[in-house]
Parts: sequence; C-alpha cells; structure tokens
Amino acid sequence: MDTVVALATPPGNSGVAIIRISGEGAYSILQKLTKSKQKFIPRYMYLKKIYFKNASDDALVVFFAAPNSYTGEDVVEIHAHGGYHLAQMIIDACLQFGATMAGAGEFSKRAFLNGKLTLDQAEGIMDIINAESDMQISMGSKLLNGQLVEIIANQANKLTDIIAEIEAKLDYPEYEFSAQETSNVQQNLAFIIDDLRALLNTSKNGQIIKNGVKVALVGAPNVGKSSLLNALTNTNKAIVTEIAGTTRDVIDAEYQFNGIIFRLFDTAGIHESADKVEQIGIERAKQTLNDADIVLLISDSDNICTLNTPKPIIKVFNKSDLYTPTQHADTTNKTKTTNKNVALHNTLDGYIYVSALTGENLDKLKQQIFDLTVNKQIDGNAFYLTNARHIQCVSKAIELLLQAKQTFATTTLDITANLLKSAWQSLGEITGVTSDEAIIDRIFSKFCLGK
Amino acid sequence: MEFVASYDAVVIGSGHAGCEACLALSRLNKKTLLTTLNLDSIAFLACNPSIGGTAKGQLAQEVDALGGEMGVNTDKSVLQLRMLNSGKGPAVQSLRAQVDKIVYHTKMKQTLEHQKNLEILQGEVAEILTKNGKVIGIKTALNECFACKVVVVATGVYLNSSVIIGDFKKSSGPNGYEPSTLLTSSLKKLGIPLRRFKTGTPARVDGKTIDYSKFELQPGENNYSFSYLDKPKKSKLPCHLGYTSTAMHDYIRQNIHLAPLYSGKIEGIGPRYCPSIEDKIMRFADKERHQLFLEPESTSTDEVYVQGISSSMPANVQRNMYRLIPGFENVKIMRFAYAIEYDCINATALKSSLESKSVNGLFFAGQINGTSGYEEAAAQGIMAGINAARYLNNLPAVVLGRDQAYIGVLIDDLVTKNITEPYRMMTSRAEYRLTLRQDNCDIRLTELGHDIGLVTNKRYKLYKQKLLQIKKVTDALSCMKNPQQLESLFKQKSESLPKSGLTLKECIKRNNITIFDIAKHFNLFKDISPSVLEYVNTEIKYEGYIKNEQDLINKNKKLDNISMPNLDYNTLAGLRKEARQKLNDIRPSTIGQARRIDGVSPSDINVLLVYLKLHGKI
Ligand SMILES: Nc1nc2c(ncn2[C@@H]2O[C@H](COP(=O)(O)OP(=O)(O)OP(=O)(O)O)[C@@H](O)[C@H]2O)c(=O)[nH]1
Ligand SMILES: [Mg+2]
Repeated sequence: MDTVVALATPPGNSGVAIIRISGEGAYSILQKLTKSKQKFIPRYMYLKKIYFKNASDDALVVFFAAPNSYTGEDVVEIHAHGGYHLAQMIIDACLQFGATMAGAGEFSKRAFLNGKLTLDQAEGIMDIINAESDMQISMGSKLLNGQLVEIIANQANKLTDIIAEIEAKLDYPEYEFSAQETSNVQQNLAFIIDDLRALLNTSKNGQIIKNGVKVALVGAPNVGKSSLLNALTNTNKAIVTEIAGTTRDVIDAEYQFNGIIFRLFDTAGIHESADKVEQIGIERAKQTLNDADIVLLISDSDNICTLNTPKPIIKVFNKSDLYTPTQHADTTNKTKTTNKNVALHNTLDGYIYVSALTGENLDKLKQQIFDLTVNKQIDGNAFYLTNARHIQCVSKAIELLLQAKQTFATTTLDITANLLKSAWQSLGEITGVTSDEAIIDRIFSKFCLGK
Repeated sequence: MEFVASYDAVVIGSGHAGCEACLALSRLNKKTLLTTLNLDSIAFLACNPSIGGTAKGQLAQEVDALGGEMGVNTDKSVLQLRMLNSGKGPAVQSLRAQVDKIVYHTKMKQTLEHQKNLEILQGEVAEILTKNGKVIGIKTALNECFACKVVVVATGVYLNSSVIIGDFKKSSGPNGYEPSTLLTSSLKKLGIPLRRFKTGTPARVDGKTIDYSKFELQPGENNYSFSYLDKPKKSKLPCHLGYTSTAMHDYIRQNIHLAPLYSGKIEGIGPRYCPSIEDKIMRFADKERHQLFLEPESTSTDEVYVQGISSSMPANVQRNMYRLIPGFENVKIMRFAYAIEYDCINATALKSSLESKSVNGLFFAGQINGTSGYEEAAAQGIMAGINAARYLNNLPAVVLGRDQAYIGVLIDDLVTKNITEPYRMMTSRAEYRLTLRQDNCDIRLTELGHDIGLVTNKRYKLYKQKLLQIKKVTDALSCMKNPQQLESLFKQKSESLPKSGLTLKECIKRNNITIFDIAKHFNLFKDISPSVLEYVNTEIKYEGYIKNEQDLINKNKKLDNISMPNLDYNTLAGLRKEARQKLNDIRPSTIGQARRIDGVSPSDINVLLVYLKLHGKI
C-alpha cells in the first residue's frame, strides 16, 4: 500500500501539531526530512531538525516498526510546533518525498485491514473521528472498548443455549420436547427478543447522539430569526438587517448542549411575497420544517405567528429587551418602551421571552429544546446503539427471532432451527464470532446423549 | 525390489471405507487389489447392527446416489427400516435400518468377489513403498511386494489397536480380530502425523435370557428402501426400548474406581456423543435413568446388541450391572463390552481429495482419518476411490461442496478443522441442511456420479424418469381452480376459502393441505411414485426457506471461489500468531476454507483478502 501522510491533531492553532506518516516509505521519508542517516530505534523519541522548503524547525520524531504500530505498518510521527502553516509545510515536504495525502479515517482503515482492530473497534474509532460532541466520543470509546460486543455476546450466548437444545432434539430423534421444555424455549426466546428490542430502542437516542438534533427557526420576516441563530450558536453566520426578507436561503449552524449537538436552520420569513427569490426561500423554509426534529416559532410584537405542525414546537417571543425590566417580569401585562401597540400580547400564554440582543433567557431556551427532543433517559454511562450496521444487524436478529418464535409453534422444528441460526449469525456479525463448532460444543456440555 | 504382481491401485482394509474405495476403483476400470487382515471381516459391523440414522442416513443415500454399494447392501440384509424425525421436518428426516450383520458381511463379500478388475488378498501390509514422493507399491508382512501407483489406506481402528476391559488390556483389533502392527511406522516414516483415539461398544447378550415384557416394542415400517434402485422392504424384526435403573447407577458409582477411563488406563480421546454408561452417569449425575435399545444382530443368532450401554468396566462388574436393568434380571452376556484404542492420522495432512499433501498417490479413508461410524467411512471410501482413479487418469479431483452433500461437509471438516475426538456426522454440522435433504440426494448427485462413471445405466434411467415425473407433477400443479372446486377440500382441512381462484401449487402452500390431499381430491398423479410427490411437496411448502438458503449459499460461494496461492503466512505481518501457524499447517485452498479453520478470525480473513487484492489475485 502506498505511504500516506496527514495531520493527526485537529487543524487550527494548537500547542503541538502531530503529523503522522504510515506505510513502507515512512522510514525513508523520516530520514529525508531530518537529512540524517542515523538509525531510529522504534518507539524512541528524538529531537531533530526538520527541513522543508528553505527553512527548518525543531521537532520530536518517533518511529514505530511494522507490525507494532497503530496501523500495523511502519509509522512515523512528527510532533512539531503548533500552527496550521508550519504543519502544512511539513506535510508538503512529505508529499514531495513520495507520500500521498491520507483520506479521512485512512489510518484506522489500515489498522483494520492489517488486523489491528476488529470490525466493531474500527467502527468505534470511525465514530470517534467523526464525533463532534462529547456524548458521541463516549459512545465511540464504548464501542472501542468492546462494550457492544459484550452486550451482544451475552444475548448470543443465551441464544446458543436454545439452539443447542433444539439441535439435540434434531440429531437425537429419540428425544422430544416436553410441554415444560417447549414453554421454557418460548419464554427464553421472548426474553432475548425483549432485551434486543430494548437495545434497539436506544438506537433512537443513539441516532440523536450521533447525528444531533435538527432545530428549525421559522416565523414572519424581521422577527429576529437570524439574530437568534447567531446568538444561540455564538457565530455570525446569518446576515442580519432591519430589512424584512433578508434571509433567502437556509442557513445552518450548531451548538452543543449537555453533550448533544443541536443544528439550527434559519429560514426565510414566511409571508405572502411577490419576490421570486423570496418565494423559493419560503418553499425551502417549509421543507426545512419538514425535516426538523423541533420547531422554534419566533414572534415579536409586530408579528405573532401561528403554525400547524405535528412536530414539537416552542413559541419564542423575541426582543424582550424592548420591554421595561419591571413590566417584563410580569408576562401578562407588558408595555413596550417603544410606542408600538402592545395590548395584543396581554393574552399571550406559553411563550418564552428572549432577547437575541442581550442573550436573555437563551440558556433557558436551550434547556427547553433539550428537554423536548432528547429523551431524558440519555445517560452518559448507558449504552446506545449508534452505528447503522449494528442497528441493522440487531433489527434483523429480532425479526428472525420473532419468526422463529412463531414457527416453533406452527411449523417443523428444522425451520425454527434455521431461523434461530440465522438470527445468531446476525448477532455474530457484530461480535465477529459465528463458528458452528460453538453450538456443537454447547450441545455436548449440556446434554447427555449417546448412541 | 521384485514385484509379485502389478496393479493400478491397492486398497488396504476391507471395512466400509475399503469396500467402497475398491469398488469405485475397479468399476472405473482400474486394476485393483484389496488387502485385508481377515477375509471374514469384510464389511464387518463391529458396533451396532444398523445403517443410517440422522445425518448418517443422508450420507449412506448420497453414497448410493453416486453409485456406491452401501445402500444396496443394506437393502439386501435389512431387518427393519424406520424413518426418523418424520415430525421434525424434511431437513432432518433420515432413514435408519437394522440389518442382519452376518448377511451384510456375506452379501458384500459376494459383491466384491464378483466385481470385474478386483482381486482380494488376505494379509497384513507392512510398508507403503514410495519413490521421489510418489507411491510405487506395497510390501506385506510376508515380504511380498506388489506394484501400484495409488494406495488407499482404509485400516479403520486396526492400527496398533488395544482392547480394554477393566484391568485387562490386550493388543487386539475389534471382536478378537488381529490388529495391524506394522503399518504405523511406515506411515510415520512417510511423515504422516498420527494420533490416538478411543471408542467402545456395548455387550451382546443372549436374547433368550431377556424378559421382553419389561421393554417397549419398537416395530419397523414397510414403505422404504435404502437404495434408490430397490423396491420398498418389509420390516422383519422389531427393536425394543428400555431404561437403566437407579440401582444400576448406584452400583456403577460404587465401582467407578475400576473404570479404566477413571483409573487412567485409557489415554485415547473418546467421542462425547458415544460415552460409555459410566461416563454418562458421572457426567450427568442428576439424570435418574438413561434410555437403551435392544437391537437384533441377525436372524441366524440369538445375540442382541444393547445400544446405549457401552462400557469398559471389568467383566464381573459388567455382569452385575447389566442385571440391574429392568428386564435383564437373568441376562447372560455372550460378548463383553470393551473399549478400543487405535492409531489414526490427523486428516489436516490431507487435501480435499483425501490424498496426502506430502506423498503423491497416497489416499486415506474411513476411521483412520479420525471419524466414527460406518456411513462416514463409506462416504470417504467412495470419494477416495473416485479421486484415486482420477489421479491415475490425470483428471482433477472431485471435491463435493458443503452445499452439495453431507459428504462435502464431512471431508471439508476433516481436512480443515483440527478434530480432537472421533468425528460423527450430525445434521447440525451442515449449514445448508434444508438443501441437503435425503429426498433429493439423487437430484444433487446422480448426474455427477454419471459423469464420473460410477452410476449404472439402470440407475441413470431411473433418475431421468424421476426428473420427468417431477416436471409432470410441477406442470400439473400450475392448474388454476376456482373457489367452488376447492370448497369441500378446504372445509374438510379447515382452511379459509379464498375469494378468487388458486393454483394447486398455492393450495399446497396452505398449512393443512399436502400434495397427497390434492392428489386424492382431484384424482391426480395415479402413476407417480410417492417419493416424487413427497419431494415436490417439500419443495413447495418450504420454497421460501429453501430460497433464503440458496441466497446464503451464493453469498458464501464467492469466498469459496477465491483460491489461495501458495503463501508463506509468516510473511503476512497483519495475521495473528495463531492464525499464521494454523494457516501454515493447513494451507487452505480457498478463502472459504481458511475462514472455517478454527483459530483464524474474521480480521485475519480481512488481512488475507487485502493481501490478495493488493497482489492482484482477486
Ligand atoms: N432590540 C432587539 N432587536 C433585535 C433583536 N433581534 C433582532 N433584532 C433586530 O431585528 C431586525 C431583524 O433581524 P433579523 O435577525 O434579520 O430578522 P429575521 O427574522 O431573520 O428577518 P428576515 O430574514 O428578513 O426574515 C434587525 O434590525 C435586528 O437588529 C432583539 O433581541 N432585540
Ligand atoms: Mg433573517
């Protein structure tokens, strides 16, 4: 495989930048970078001068010889001074010496292909690489630590017992299921199905952990949707003007709250418009609304919006800073410091009053969004199914087990055995063990059979 | 070296593997010599007088479908036939026969004697002669040499065997026959890895001393034959079912220190599925009684085989414990139960053709390869015979797939997995058992047997007729019936009546309706054999499941079609140490085989796949 190079630390300014090189050419690239013929002993750190373009810089370098490295190939790591520009120049030098740029997750891919990581560990690492929130990283590291394997192996193990019992009856015709044994099998199958279903249910949370929560900001023009997006995400992504109809396209930005990622989508203000561009923007706003997990319906004193949607909705009253502090505390009797008519709002119930300008109540709003979208049971210590392949394997196993439970009562035993074995294999695709010897061993350790 | 005579092939041993091997070779026009320690032990049923049973019935019928002899010989000597597991589904149904062990031997001996191209010689083979890594002949204990290009070793449990009964241990083959003491060192010299296994057999008792009133009668059935060539046979003798007693268990427990297995006298590894009664009682202490079956050995003797009570206890303990079985109060033992230890080879030293990886022209078949059972032996015998003949003709070996036959599963397991106890075929070893049914053995294998040249014209014609009948039936079943025509049948079978018409095939998919109901109701298929109807019925009722299995087969076939080049696995850095070692030992021929080696993990397989991909091999 060709030799690849990439920045191993996050891009941007940091104290140290680590450049990783993996592949057959790693060692010779190290020698060329350091202009040195010396022998680098594996796993020893050296302080060397690194030469690139017409300059040089001091760096710590370390060499790992295959297969004792993260990727299983020869690996060199260069710990250089932080700074995007410097790291880029060292990488450019590596490219000149024959390396190619590593794709995303390339190092982990190589580690997996070289047998350094099991499939689910590799998937765990991929999740960490792609992770943005704290919760996501903790799920990835749980995968990496084999927690999923343990949970699945436990169910597969229970299933092995049932399969062994059925196989024994198939290979030894003189044994038949007694009524007691039959109901035991039914019950144990039901337990496994329940447990797997509970695991699968965590996948809803798991998906939230992995993909974040989609929040749509909708409302009439000029109520401050874009201002809120900027304030909540602490960015400047959306353009803000006092002109109604500023936002045309959908703008997104995100923030983290309690370890979960929230993606906000700012949309064009919805109203009757003759402007062609704005019309398209309004169409897109409606589309965004459809994809969202939750809707923030924004109003201000000029425009009270209503919306009919089955999605969870939070009614937000923006520009609270325009009210006098004392009156503001009493939501039933507000007067504005401006000369606009406020009588309208005396009857408004169930609104949260915020200010994009001063940041008032924004944390409270974030908490409400969190409460309405993320299941309260999400708990950093529990396990959630987040990987699409794992979700698929578990759902397939459940489906097969349900079928087996039915055929056990209605069809011949050989069919049930087949379905159970397939279910078992589905689980084995997660744990990486599906040898039939395991079932046979179980038959013999559990049952007294003889010819 | 002077050769007395010259043959194409020599088969050593006349047990169930040797018989099939020498018949396959001679029927494929190879001049063949069969040597045996004792002519009276040809096709000897050393353990129970029975052929078939779960998975074994499939093996025997596959041998039959390929043109082997086991099924035909069973039909000639049958005492009783039963279909096992008939309620548990078509995938696991198997035929089992009780046979007359004396007739079984004499009929097979006659067949061998009448076979063209085949000579039989009593004598002990002392050495396999090779030159430049190729077989050139054999030498007997009498110092005579015979030239040949291939040898099939089918020596069963006779290599350096010892019989053990309590304290008594004697160098002996089964049933007092002579062991073979010279061949082991010749095999060692040729670099064949050897190991020691153990098995056992129960006592034979005098049927006149059994109180049958305390046993449950097990009559046979009359609708079956083992070979596709034969007409259904009538069952002549029943078996009996009985149980051990707690008194017997207590007695055995008190005397357990006398059991060779517990005193350390036996070193061989015995099979878990065929434990001695002392083993069962110690391992499954909470079981109050164990089943046992009484099987007649022959119509010309009173000896009865006591299935389930094999033992290697001392003689007096055996006598006392057997009498504690209800109905055995006055029983007289005629032959004592014994354990037997023997040399066998590690079959991972063989290719899938059953030829040695190190010596060209040297084939192995049967219990010498670490299996147990007559059917397992016969299955290997016919394949070794076929492949030895093809070796002589410079043709590629015939290797049956795991999706093609139990024989394929058997041989693949033997040459791939490190078997640590005598290997018995079980349906649970087959991953595609809905495909490997006994009702389609001929459909799976007879065309192949015909291509190989073992299937006779008579068999082939019967097979072609069957295919025609199947087509006729299948065509007829696409006929549409309207609800009125179905009403009385559906009512009678308590099925809900469809609103619009159904084809007959769709009717059979209903839970409570079989092809036989359709045949009766619409007066169809009068000229079609029941076995054809049974086959079509299964194919329709299980269509969805069979298709799923076929999808799985196709998926796995891709891996089986990726062949492995000759590699030094030590150079593949990504492999784990254990995997490297196992792969170097077994040298799998395909990725599929590599995957089945225990100790090779899925990530090791990824390493191999990546290697092959990088080197342009896939
Ligand atoms: N006083 C005060 N003014 C605000 C607040 N939020 C927004 N504004 C002002 O309201 C005007 C409109 O703000 P935007 O954020 O562009 O409103 P929008 O809803 O995105 O408008 P469109 O994109 O045109 O639909 C700007 O002049 C903002 O400065 C607030 O909390 N307090
Ligand atoms: Mg805007």
